[in-house]
Amino acid sequence: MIIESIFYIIENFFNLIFGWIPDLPSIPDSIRVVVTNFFDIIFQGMGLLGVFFNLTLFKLVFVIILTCIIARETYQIIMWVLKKIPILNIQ
Amino acid sequence: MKKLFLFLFLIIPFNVFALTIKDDTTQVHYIVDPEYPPIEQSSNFIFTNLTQNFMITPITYSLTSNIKFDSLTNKYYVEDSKSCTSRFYNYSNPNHTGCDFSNTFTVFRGLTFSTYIYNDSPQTITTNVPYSVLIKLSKGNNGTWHGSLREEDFSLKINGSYGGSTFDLTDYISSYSIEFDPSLNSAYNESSQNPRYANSAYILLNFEMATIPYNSQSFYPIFTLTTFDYTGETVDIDDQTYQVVTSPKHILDSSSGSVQVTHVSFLRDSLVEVVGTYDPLNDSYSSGMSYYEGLDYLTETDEEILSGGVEECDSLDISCHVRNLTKRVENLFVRLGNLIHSISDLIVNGIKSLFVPSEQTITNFFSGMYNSAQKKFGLLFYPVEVFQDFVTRFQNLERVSTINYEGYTLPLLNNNIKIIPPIHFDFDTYLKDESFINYYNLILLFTNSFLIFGLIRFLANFESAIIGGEDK
Repeated sequence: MIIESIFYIIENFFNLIFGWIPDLPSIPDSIRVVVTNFFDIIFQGMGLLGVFFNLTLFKLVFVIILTCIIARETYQIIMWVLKKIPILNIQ
Repeated sequence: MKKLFLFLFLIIPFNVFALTIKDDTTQVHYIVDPEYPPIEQSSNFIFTNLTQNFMITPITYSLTSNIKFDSLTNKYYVEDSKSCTSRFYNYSNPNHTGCDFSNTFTVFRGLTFSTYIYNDSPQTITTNVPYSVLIKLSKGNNGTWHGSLREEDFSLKINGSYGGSTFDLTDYISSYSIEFDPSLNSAYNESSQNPRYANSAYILLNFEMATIPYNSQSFYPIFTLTTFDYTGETVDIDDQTYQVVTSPKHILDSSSGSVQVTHVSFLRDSLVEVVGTYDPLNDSYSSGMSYYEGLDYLTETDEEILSGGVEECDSLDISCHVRNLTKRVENLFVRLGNLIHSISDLIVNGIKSLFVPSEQTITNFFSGMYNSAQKKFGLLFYPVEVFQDFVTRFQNLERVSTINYEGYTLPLLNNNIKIIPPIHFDFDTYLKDESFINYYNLILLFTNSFLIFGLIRFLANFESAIIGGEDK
């Protein structure tokens, strides 16, 4: 219940902050189709990677690297915000 | 700004991806509509107010049949299994029927709907949109609900729906499986003035199911046909026989509006009662028909527990009185033990509900945030969608071992010149050669080592970057 309340507050806060902005138009379907087709071609070819690599290990390495990068960027974002608050005096 | 972009680009899609791939449950918002009348008196599905532009098609219906014990409510409940055959529904035909669900259940655990489409004209129709389903839940009651049960406490989950294909006549379109949590969908009504409902716990669920609006009037909803007869079943629980008495009732109105599928289920703490029938179309209530189901609550009163095993004694038989006294004391401790057990269960469940979020909470949160951001930011959000698509595709990547290329032929002066010959290659056939497998394993060993050492190198650099102070 406590965690659900926190999520509820965050979600409503997001809606409150961005509620006044009108909805921006979405990407045209033509562009969406082109990107999708491009990915289709790329990933059909990437299937051949499985011949030379252990795909399970490949995905695992990918996830670990991605997690590290995300964690680092998140940390930097948070620190960047905190440094803007003078009262905290974070250098 | 760069950091903010990185944040949006990396954090949000990854989280959404990580959570959504585990559970692709279609999320449905359900609304409580006070307009739907409380119909405690019925115990059936009611089809009313059909809209031509809607296909409301609960074509099959099934439940599992089991007698189970719910530790949360400390009560037995019954899960029944029934299904209905289907028939087409036509607006112009007033002599249609809905589906009777006899032998209905006392605690509603879940159901499965399968949706069909009926094409009036002999042609193939094509849909390009998923057949999502809208379900409305409302709670009908005349009294005050005991406890904190609210409308939004109804637990609803649609396990899946799909569409987007070409369907022929009467083709199967989609299937929904809906699950309910009985601990949430049951309530205790102690303030009802009607003695029939006093001290009775029951669940009340009104469904309104609607697929997406369909513009063609050639498509008719298909309803289920009555297939059941009145049944009376007995179940044996803890060496005692209990009787489940049920009776179906259905009301169908084709006059107008959207379909309302209403189900009300009861769990009674008394023996089977005979009550009247309720007609929501005419808002009338009549007695004399027994279509109300009931089930012995399977709970014993305090007096029954205390007097369990007590003998009939002659007034002068002192030893018998002593035995009875011993038995009563023993029963008392049994009762106390049960009480302590139920209190500890209550405390544990209370703490659990306080700190442990429900299964769907985090998924719902990130899905909701993702959808809100997608709607609000529009094309600015597209890079995030692309990234999510990339990660999803990468995660679903599978090994392709065959190449089939038909070649390229150049038509030149009535002669077809084969520029590139066809290529058909199946890597797996080579894997049957044992000597090749050895070489292949060496290649895999090398590539695996390459990946692992690359990862180690990345982590080492990553760690030195953090320890070295770059990320202050």
